[in-house]
Amino acid sequence: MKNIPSRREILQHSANGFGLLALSSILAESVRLGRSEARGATDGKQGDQVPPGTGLHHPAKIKNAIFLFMDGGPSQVDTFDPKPLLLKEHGKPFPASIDATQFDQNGTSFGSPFQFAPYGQSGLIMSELFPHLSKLADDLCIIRSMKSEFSEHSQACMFLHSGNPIQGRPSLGSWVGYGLGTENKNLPEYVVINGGLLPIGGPENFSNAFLPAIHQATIFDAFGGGETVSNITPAEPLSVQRAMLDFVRQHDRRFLAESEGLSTGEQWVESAIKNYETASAMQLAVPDLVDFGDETSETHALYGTSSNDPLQAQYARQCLLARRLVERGVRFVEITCVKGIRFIAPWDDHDNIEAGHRKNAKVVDQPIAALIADLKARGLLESTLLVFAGEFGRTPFAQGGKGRDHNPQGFSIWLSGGGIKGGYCHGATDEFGYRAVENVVTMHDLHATILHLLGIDHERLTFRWGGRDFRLTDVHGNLVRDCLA
Amino acid sequence: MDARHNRGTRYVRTSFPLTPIVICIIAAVPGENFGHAAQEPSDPTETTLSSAIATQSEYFETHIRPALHQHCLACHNENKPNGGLALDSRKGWTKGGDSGSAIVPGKPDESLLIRTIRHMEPGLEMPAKVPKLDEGEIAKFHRWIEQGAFDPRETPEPIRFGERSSESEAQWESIAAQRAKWWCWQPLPTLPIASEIDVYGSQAIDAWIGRKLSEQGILPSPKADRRTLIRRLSFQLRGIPPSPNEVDDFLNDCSPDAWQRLIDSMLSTDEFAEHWARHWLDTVRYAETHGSEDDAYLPFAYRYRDYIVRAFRNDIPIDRLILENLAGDLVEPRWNESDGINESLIGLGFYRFVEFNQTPVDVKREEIVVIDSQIEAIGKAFQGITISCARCHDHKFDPISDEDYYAIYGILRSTRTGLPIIDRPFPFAQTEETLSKLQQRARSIAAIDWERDIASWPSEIEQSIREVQSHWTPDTKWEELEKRVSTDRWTKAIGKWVCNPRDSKLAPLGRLLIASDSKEFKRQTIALEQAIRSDIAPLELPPETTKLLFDLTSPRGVNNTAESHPLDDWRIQGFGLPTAPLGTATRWSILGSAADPFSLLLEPGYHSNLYSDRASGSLRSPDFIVDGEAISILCRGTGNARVRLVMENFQGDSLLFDTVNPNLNSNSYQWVTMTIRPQWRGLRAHLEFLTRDAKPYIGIVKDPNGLNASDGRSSFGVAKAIMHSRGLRLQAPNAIPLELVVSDPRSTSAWIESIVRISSAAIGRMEKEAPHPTDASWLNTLISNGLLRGNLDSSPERKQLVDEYRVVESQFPVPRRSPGVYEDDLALNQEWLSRGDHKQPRAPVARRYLNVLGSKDSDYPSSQSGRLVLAREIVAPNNPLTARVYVNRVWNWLFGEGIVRTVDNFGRMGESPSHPELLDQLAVEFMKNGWSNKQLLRAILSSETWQRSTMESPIAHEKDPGNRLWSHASVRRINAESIRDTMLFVAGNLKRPDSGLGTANYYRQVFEPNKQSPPGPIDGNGRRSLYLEVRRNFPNEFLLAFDFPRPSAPVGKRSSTIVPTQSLALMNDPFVIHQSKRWAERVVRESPSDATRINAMYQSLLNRSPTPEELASAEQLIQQLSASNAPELAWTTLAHAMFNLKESIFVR
Repeated sequence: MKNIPSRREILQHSANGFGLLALSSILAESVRLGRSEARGATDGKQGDQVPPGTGLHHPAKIKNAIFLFMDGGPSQVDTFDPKPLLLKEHGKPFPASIDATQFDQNGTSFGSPFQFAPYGQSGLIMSELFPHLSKLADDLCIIRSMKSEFSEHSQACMFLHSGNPIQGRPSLGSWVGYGLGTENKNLPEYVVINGGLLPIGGPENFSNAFLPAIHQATIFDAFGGGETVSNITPAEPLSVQRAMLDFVRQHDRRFLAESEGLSTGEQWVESAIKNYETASAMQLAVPDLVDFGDETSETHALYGTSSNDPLQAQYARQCLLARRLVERGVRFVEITCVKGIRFIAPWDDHDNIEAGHRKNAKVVDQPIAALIADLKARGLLESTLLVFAGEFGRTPFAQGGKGRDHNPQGFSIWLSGGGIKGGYCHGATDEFGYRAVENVVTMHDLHATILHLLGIDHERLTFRWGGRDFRLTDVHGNLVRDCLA
Repeated sequence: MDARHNRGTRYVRTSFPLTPIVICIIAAVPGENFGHAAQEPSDPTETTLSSAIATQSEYFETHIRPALHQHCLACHNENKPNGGLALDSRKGWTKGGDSGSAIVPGKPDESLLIRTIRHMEPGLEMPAKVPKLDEGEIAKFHRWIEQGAFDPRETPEPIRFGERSSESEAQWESIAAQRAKWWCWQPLPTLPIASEIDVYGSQAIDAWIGRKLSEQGILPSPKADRRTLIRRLSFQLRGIPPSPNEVDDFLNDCSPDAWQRLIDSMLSTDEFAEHWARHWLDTVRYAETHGSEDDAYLPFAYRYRDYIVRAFRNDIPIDRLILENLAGDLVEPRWNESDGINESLIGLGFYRFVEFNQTPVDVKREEIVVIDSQIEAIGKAFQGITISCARCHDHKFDPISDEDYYAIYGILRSTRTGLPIIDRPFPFAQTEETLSKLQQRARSIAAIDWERDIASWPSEIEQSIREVQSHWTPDTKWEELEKRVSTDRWTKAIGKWVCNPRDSKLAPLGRLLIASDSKEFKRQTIALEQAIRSDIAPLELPPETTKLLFDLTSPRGVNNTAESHPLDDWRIQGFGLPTAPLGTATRWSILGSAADPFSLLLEPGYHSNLYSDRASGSLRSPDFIVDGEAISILCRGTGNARVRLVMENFQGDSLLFDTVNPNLNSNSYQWVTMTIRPQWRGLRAHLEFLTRDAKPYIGIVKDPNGLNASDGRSSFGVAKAIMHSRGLRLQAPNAIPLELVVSDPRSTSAWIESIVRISSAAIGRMEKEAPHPTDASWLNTLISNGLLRGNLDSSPERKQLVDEYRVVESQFPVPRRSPGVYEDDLALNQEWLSRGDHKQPRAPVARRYLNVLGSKDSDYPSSQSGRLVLAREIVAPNNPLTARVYVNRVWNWLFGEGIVRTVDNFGRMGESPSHPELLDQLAVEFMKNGWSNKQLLRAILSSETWQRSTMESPIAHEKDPGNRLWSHASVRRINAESIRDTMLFVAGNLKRPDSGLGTANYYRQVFEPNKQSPPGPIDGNGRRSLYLEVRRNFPNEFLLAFDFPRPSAPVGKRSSTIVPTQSLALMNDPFVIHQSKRWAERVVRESPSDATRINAMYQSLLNRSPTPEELASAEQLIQQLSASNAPELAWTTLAHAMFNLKESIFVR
């Protein structure tokens, strides 16, 4: 058994702020479990060589990830997966066997109402829905062979976020934070920029579950009119708060000094004292973060923060905030969809795919293209991964007349950024765009690949809880090497 | 060990070729080979060369094959060669893995296998993720390789992953036998555990702890001071600090039993019961919603919470509590005399704290989710083992097979989800008789009344016909006609019939009454006959498209045999429901709140309201396989009663399932058609009819306060059900007797005469209780059309009768219910699912509990689920786990760590006890003391060990840095609830006493207004955190920040983190500010000066006076802030500061 970290060691870690602070609690937990390898990143071959808490399993390609969650499930055959045969068969009975769909209102084959064309030097084929994004086709790696297991939103969302269909497992962002921590002691490691719509299933999609609480997502509500982050606004005028905290600090020091012994528990008291410095710093860092006053008008224009379309303008601000977070060293940022097109899951176009998808694409196209361009211009794209994905795709046959039902059997997502092969298209669905048939990529594969880019071996990032070593990918997951640069 | 090694090598150096004969010998007597497994290897010096081959193979079979199975093959087999290495055949290891060959025969020290199991290869410590093998086992591998690594396995051997064979079965038995040697499976010894330690209770604790400490040369820390002790005790037992008075009393109490009395007084408080109930709730994953998209509400979950509080207050034996959680419906009831409820039934809520998807495409998968959660909870909460690991394959570390898993699954699958009534059974029999008599009187009174009515019909009808004739044309709307005609009852009835042909099947009757030519007479007569006959039509459809599921109007019942009782295979749950269908009889239902109490005569079929619509419960059909495209049920209901199709125990009712869960709000029989989705074909299902309050699942409920507002009135009736193909149009029965069709249809007077005659005859038969099958429906038709009077004011006799009826009926309680399960005398074995895949069912596994605990399927009755047997096996005194797990939990709650640190896992992946004898002694004494929680607490709290100070001696720090030997106490952060409750307590806002429906959490961000309940009050109405709602999708943010556990799985030990979110919460959370303000107000109100106020604050929050330095600094803060702010702000800020002190949340 390893020795308990010394008190001084713990204090050093605590002083280093948000991310490393977690380390002390993790190590403590490991020691309590009598196992030094509870944290995967510090176990194994490199366990002793790699400084704990910064340990990577292999050199990382990226430092940050931005997850653009396309809530409700965009249709693959209307966005990134052109299917001429489907168009030809339009209106005829769907020729292949159909799995149970959620609404069981399966209609005929439904060709895409959108035009597809090749873009960029790579000639990546995309639909007309993304006029801005298509200009950056050479930066995108489209995966056309995604497969999920669940055709209902809540389970599919939870599966996308945590690799498991029901609550109780840590989300991807939590695992990343657990593995890597943050580089900014004044900001959390995992931030969700809430556009007004959380994935179906609620905030538990971002749960740390059994991982230490520090790895829970912090939900930023920058645009809802409330507090940006819960409890970030000082309850008293700052001068009063300062007086109060001075009193607390004096008192706490005495409390600690009085009980100065060698008891391990005192270390936790001291960590708790240190946390107040971090918390105070956060109170200042967050308002500064969400104040866009220092952005140029060119940047604002690029994102479209003043767009006539209020939904697009809001999404633009979310994307800009994501860049600011990444700039400040926040590891994992998720952007959720804006409320307004629908009250839940905006891409969930059961009734009218054409009208619905046009609205949805318009909201996100320019802001996301701007985010990529902006990151690139600042040299951040090479250390940042963008993931554009919904929880599933949609059926190539109609639901009713003009809509599409859920389809987890085959759908498209894209990746962009560091370590990613740009202008590349991976995998394929069948000729109707229904099932992934070539180089199928599962949710676990996607997770494994994201972790890999961050320098983490998905099989070795584990946490022991309730008698089992858990990992994000459970017992599954293979790297999608073809997509890596 | 090394010596034995060396001796071995002298004699056996070479590997021997495999001979077929050896294989045969081995295969023929596997039992004998494995029978030696537990023995040490025979001394090799006795081995002769001539028996070398046999010895080699015996050695492999005895030591190596079982060890490979136990430790290696799960991850290193042909199908799953981790690191490229397969060890399930000789070829496999010869080929080696990614890191090269694993075994070099004859050269153990060069073999990677030996290096990895000796943990000499960083990153490749094997077996992965479990403690290192013991030296004896390593030595066996060493010796085996040294001797040439004899391995008879030419082809990969079966490893019981996927399909079964007799060979793999035998291997599993051998592995399980090996694994069953782990400490937790060993029987508990008897007392005394050791002859030199024959003391008991707290003395035994100190003796066992003292023994190890002295072995290590560690002196235990001294006892903590009294002030520290009472504070520690109060937080550990009650979750709030002691009051200043309590502290003073204890400090001034010099009697020798002061500590004992303090413990006893705290143990007798409600606060103790509440704080400890929460520990239990952690371990059973208590929650009030089901999570997933809808976060559907689990009604009355809080009753379980309150039940646990009462159980801890009254020190209900823990074995009894477990028994009630698992089989509270099957054991002798435990009556709560003051409330008149059966406590045992409330325990069943344990099964209901599950998350499931409420709109799945695949319902069987959802049954697995639910039952898996139940199995996981039974295993972890009560047994400290991870049974659910064996769902897809045999457990990788423990002696639990996937057959064990499906044997338990069958028990739970045979258990039905319900909402049991917890009241004392109402003595219904006498009431039933009185009500029957009243109903009989009602018939006579109505008959007299109606005969009088009918006498005037002929002239009324003639008059009405003339009126309608003169105003009606084929396109007249009733709204127009209504204005032109009189309000006579027949005029209104006929007018409506003829104007609304689509809405009323009585249209032909109306049309022919007003017909003026023979052609129209003929046309409408045919239409009328068709309408009458269409009611019977569905059952005359071809059998290939239509199947009768049941017919409760037939005296022969569903089984179509004259002998069987019509409800033989049906189950009735509830209160006041009849035990049999009505058959062909007609009965009054005197309805509840309706202004027309006589408005319903019950038609043939089963009716929940045969006596009263305050009867509450459910009727469940036998199981059937869903193999049609639709199911139609002829039924009726009032007050949001429901019929639901329950497939594979699936409970949801939203989105995809709304068509199979319709509410029933029609007083007359209607055909209710459920469309069957293709993916449901082939599923096992039953139909269930429920009065409103009996629904075990109620979907999204934003404000559960409404649930209690029920007057209890709801009813259902059911006649028959058919399964059929799509497209079948079923007409609601029109309730016109065929006799009405007259022989000479061309005369209006003949029709009038017929109506009068038929109605009069029906009334006569109704009175004599000898009705024809259609009498009741015809009379109901007349009543509902206002042609016969159902209302109270029609006669004083009616009113008097109804009043009498109400008096009797008012004695019925509105039953209280609690989430639970029902036993249905239905035993279904679950098929073993290959790799846990429900699409690959294999042979059914007989129900039983764990094989390793000696459970036998023959003890499980074929007519019951087996839950009772399961529960009894779990609480049996010879179960080696139950008592150990519980006493270890208690130790953990009191010390912050268990004697076994992995409190929820005693298996191989968990840890061994630091003090095994102590654990056993506590467990045995615990059982001897009647599984008394309070006794156990008294023993531990009285020990020196628990009362030690937190100061750690240098030698202890050096030799035992993790304090595994308990030389001192640990500083601990109080839990989330205690932090919040303490604020309420010192501010004087804690609501006492408390129970009942949880209060909604306060949220600043409402994420999903459609599903989230509206935010609750900031201070939660002053209720302890225990009484705040536990919603899965929207947990309480404040509590969550301080490690309040999520209810997704049992949590025996909460994590204890220190994160900045906690600082932010204490600095800025509205609740904290709110309580600071309240506390400040209280202090200012109650104490006169700054100094006394500050002193009072220190006394109540920290249980001590401020030091002069502290007093000065607090006074300075007050003065500083008062200078430029309102005085209230100063005191509020001091109160707020106090809540932020580490001393207030860390307890020594």
